[in-house]
Amino acid sequence: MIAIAIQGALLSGLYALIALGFTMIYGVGRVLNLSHAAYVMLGAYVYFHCLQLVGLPVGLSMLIAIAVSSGAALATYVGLVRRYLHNPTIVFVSTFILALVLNYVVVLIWGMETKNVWPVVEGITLVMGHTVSKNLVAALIVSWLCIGGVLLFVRKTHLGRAMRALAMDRKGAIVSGINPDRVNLMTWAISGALAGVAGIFFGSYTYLVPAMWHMPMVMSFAIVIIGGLGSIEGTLIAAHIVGYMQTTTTLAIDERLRGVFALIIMIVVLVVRPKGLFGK
Amino acid sequence: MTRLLEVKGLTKRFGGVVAVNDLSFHIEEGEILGLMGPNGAGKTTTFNLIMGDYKPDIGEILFQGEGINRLQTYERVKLGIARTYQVPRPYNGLPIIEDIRISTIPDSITKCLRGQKQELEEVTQIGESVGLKDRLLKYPGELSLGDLRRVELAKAVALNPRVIMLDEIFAGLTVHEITEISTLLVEKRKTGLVFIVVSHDLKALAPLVDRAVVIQFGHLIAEGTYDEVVHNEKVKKAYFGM
Amino acid sequence: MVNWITSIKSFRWWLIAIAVMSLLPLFVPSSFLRICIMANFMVIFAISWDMMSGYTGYVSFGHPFLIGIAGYVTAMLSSQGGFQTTHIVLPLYATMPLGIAAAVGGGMLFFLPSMRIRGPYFSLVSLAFLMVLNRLMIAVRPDMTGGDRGLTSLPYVVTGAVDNYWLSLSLMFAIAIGLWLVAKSDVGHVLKAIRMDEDVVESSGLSTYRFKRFAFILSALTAGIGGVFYTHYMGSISPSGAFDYIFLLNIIVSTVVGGMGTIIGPIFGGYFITFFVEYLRPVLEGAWRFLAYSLVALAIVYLRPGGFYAIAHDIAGWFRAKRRGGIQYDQVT
Repeated sequence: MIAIAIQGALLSGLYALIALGFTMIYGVGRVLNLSHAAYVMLGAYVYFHCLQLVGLPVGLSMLIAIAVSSGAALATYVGLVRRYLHNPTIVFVSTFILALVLNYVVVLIWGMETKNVWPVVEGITLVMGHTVSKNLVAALIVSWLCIGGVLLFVRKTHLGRAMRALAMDRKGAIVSGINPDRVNLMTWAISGALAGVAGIFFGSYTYLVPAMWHMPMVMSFAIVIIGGLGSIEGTLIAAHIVGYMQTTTTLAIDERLRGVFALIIMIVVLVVRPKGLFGK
Repeated sequence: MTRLLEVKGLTKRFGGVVAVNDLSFHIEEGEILGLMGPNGAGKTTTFNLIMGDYKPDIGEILFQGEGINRLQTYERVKLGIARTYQVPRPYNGLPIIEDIRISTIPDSITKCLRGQKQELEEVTQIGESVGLKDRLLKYPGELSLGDLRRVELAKAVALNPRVIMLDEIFAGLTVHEITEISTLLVEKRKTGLVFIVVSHDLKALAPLVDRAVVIQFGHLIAEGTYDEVVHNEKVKKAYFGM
Repeated sequence: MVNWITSIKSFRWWLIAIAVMSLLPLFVPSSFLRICIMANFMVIFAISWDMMSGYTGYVSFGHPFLIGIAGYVTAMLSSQGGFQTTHIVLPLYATMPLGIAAAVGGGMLFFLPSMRIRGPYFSLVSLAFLMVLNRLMIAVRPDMTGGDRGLTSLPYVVTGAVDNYWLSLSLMFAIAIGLWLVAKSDVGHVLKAIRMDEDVVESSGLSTYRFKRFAFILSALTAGIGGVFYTHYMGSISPSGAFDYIFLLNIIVSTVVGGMGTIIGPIFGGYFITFFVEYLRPVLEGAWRFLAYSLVALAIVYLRPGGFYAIAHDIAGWFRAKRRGGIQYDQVT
C-alpha cells in the first residue's frame, strides 16, 4: 500500500515533467510534438553514455544529457516544425517519423539490449516504515524542484507571462508585441530539457531500452487529455491520476494491463468532457 | 409581421466575464436590423450563440417561433440562418468559385456521390451578383479585403438562407467599398433576404438599417429606428463616454 | 454516377495502367512478381489510410489496428491454431467477410468517439491505441491468438506468384478506382474542405461528423479487405507484423512520399517504398534500412509535402508554361 503511494508519487512526478513540456508546446504553438517522448529516451541514453561509458562525473553527465535533449527539441522546432505551424497534419506526420528516426538512431548507437543505469544516489532509506531507495527519493525531489521551477517561471518572468498570453489569445498577444517565434524557441528548449531530466531518472528508476519512450508517450497523451490541452494545472493533477492508476495496475492488478486503464480513461474523458479538467 | 429570429434572455459567461447579459431582441420579415455597440460589447458572441458555436448559459433562441437551442450549427444553417465572419475565412487552397460552391453542396453523402456539378452556373451567378464578376477564378491571396468580404457574402447567399448575419462587414473598407456593399445589401433585401448587420461604424449603417438595437457589456441599452437610437443618451454615452 | 463525361477521359489512364500491369507476369521472374505483390498490398493499405488521414486531415495512427484485427479474426476462425478449445474452422468465404466486419466494427467502436471532437484528439487516441494493443495482443489469451509468435499455416486464397499477383492487382485497382471516384466527387471536396477549415464547413450547413464518419468507414473497410487478403497470402499473422510501428511507418511513408490526399499518389508511393526497401535489403541491414527510408520520407515531407504527386504536377506545369510561354492558372483539383 505504501509502496504504491511512494512509487506512484515518483511516477506521477516524472510523468508530470514529460507531459508539462508536451502541453506547453501546444499552449504556445497549437501543435503537438509526437517525438516529445523520444527526447526522454535521448536524455536517458546520453546520461548513461556519459556516466558509464565515458566516465564523466554525475553532474556533468546530467548537464550534457539535458543539453542534448533540449537541443534536440530546439532542432525539431527550427528544422521541422516551424515551417508548418499552420498545418497540424504535416506536423503530426513529420514528428511521428522523427520519433522513429530517433528510436533507430539509439538502436544503432547503443543496441537493443536493456541497460542498467547506476542510481544517481546510492543506498536506501526509510520512508514511513518502508524501505525505499534513495535514488527514488532524489528523483522525486528533483522532479518537484523542476516543476516548481516551471511554475515560478511561468508566473513570474516576462517570458513566462508571454507564454501564457500566447496560450490564451494568440492574436491579442502578437498585437501586444510578443514575438511568437522567440517564445516558441524558449518553450521548446524548456520542454526538451524537462524531458531530459525525466529521462535521466526514468533510466535509473527502471532500465534503458530503446522502446522506453512508448509508455510515457501514451501516458502523456492521456494526461493532457484528462487535464486539458494547454493547461499546466490540469497537467499536474492529471499526471497524478495517471501515475497512480498505472502504479496501482502494475503492482496490484496485472502488469500486462499497464496502458489499458489510461486508454479507457482517455476515451471516457473525450466522450464526457472533451476539454478535460481545465482545457482551453 | 412575423418574428423570424428571436433571442430571449440570452446570457453567456466565459469564466468571470459576462459576455452576453440577459439580451433580448428580434428581427422581423423584410427587415435589415443593425446590431450596434462599442467594441467588446458582445456582438460577435451573440452571433456565435445564435449559430450554435457556443451554448448559452441561460436563454432561448427562436427561429420562426421554434426553439433551436438544441440544434447543432449545421442544422441551424439548414433551417435558414447564415453568417459571415468578421475576419474572412476563405479556403486558402481553393479558387473562390470552388469556395462558394461548397455552400451549395447538399448535406447528404448519397447526393454528393451522384454528383451535381452543374451548380457551377448557379455559383457563377451568385458570384457575379455580389460583384465578383471577373475574379471568380482567383485565389484568396490575390483578393482585396473588400473582395474577400464579398466572397463571405456570396457563400452566405449561396446557402439560400432566410436571414444572414453579417459580422462587421464594413470594417477595414474604403468609403467607396462601403457604399458598394451597402447598395448590394439593399438589393438583396428586395429578394426577400433579411439581414442582421453588426457594425461599430455608425455612419455606414445609416442608409441601410430599418431598425437598430444597441448593446453594451452584453446588455441591450437601446432599441428603435436608426435615428431614435443614434440620438439616445445612453447610446451616446456608450460610444463617446459623454 | 459522378459526371461520366470528364471521368471517361481520366479513365483511359486507369485502363492503360491496368493493361500494362496485367501483362507484367509475361516479362518478369516470379521473384520480382512477389515484390510487386507486396507493393500491391502496401498500396491498398496506403490508399485506405489516405482516404481518412489525407483527406480529412485527421491523421490516424491506428491503421495497423484495423488491418490487424481483420487479419486476426480471419486467421483465428480459419485455422486449427485459433480457438483451440472450440475447434471452429470456417471456410475462407465466411471468415474473410467477418474479418472485414471486425475492422469496420472495431474501428467505429474505438475511434469514432474521438473523431466527433475537433482537434488532435483522434490522432492521439489512435496512437495510444496502437501502442497499448501491441502489448495486449501478446499477453491476452495466447491460446487463441498464438501469443507473440502468432498464427501460422493459414489457408491460401490462391497459390503461386502469378495468381497472387493478379489477385492483389485486381484488389488494388478496384479499391483505388473506387476510392478515387469517391474522392473526385463532392464528398472528396467536402473532406478536403474539412481539412482546411472545419468550422467553416459546418457553417455551410454540412454535418462534418457525417462526412468524417463516411471517410473513416471507407478507410476501415478497405483496410479490412487488404488485411484479410494479405493474411491469407502470407499464410501467417503475428503481433510484430500486424500491430507494429514499422508497419505504421511504412503506410505513412508510402502515402506521404506519394502525396497525401490524392489517392493516386500512394500508388506510386507504395511501389516506391516497397522496391526501395527491397533493394536496400542487401545493402543495409535492419535499423540502417529503416533509418534510411525514414530520413528520405522526412526530407520529402519537409521539402515538398505534396509528395510525388505534387512534384509531378510541378513538372507538368513547368512543361506547359514553357510551351505556352506564359503564366498558368492552376487547375481546380
